[in-house]
Amino acid sequence: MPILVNLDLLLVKRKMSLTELSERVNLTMSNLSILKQGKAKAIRFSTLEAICRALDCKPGDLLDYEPDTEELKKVG
Amino acid sequence: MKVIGKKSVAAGLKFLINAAWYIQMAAFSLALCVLVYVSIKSDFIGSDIPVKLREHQTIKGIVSNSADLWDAQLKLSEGVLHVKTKLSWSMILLMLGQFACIAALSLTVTYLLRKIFATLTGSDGSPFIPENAARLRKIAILIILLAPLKFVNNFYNFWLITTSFRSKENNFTPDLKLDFQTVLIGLVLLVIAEIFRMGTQMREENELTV
Repeated sequence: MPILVNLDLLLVKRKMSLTELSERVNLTMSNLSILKQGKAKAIRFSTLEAICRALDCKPGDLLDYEPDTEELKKVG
Repeated sequence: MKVIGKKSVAAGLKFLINAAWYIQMAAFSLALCVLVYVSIKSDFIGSDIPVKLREHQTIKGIVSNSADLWDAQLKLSEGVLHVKTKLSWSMILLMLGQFACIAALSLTVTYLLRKIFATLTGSDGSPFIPENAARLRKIAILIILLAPLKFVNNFYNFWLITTSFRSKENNFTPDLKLDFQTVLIGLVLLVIAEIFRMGTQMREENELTV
């Protein structure tokens, strides 16, 4: 998926553990792990808002877009 | 009334399907033995062919112009023509082929149903898995395949009657049945399988939404 989640990078910058974030945003560890590992298929605005508030960042800091090279080849 | 889970309708059906699986295995094995025995020991085989009867229910005689047919008897109450056909190698192969096809189709459908029902009564009790969608699709395709198989049999009977018999009073005609119902059921199941596949996708997406 060309959408990248920079959660681990932000956690290192803020010196915060995943457990601490989980308690702050009221999300289960398994859901945060899905997000951190890039396995998530969708993210709710409410989750995004809670994470941005907890990590004091913008959605753009958390999410990044890197075009899929194979997809680009298909498009031509 | 509980439909899915333990001690539910699904659990009852699961028991019946499991029983049907073993009964089918035994019945097909027995039928194969009988078929092989008849092929070896007997010179002819009897079969009932469905026919359409005309208004006049009396019949003076049926004349066959085929040397392969030994005897024919019109059963008016059942609407079938009972024929005794001379057994040839081609006929034995045709019967065995048809038997193998029917046995394979039936056993595969029952096997797939067993797998589906096993997921309905499990501890997690979730039928929305991609494997079940694929199984439903396979069942639908197998049911659709059953119709042409029946048609081949009916067509053979039609050919046998039209080429071998003529009634003196002409009061029966071969019944060339086209089994649209089976195809329709198969097609409906194919659509349900697709809906099921979409359901599994939605479930997966829902689970991976944070």
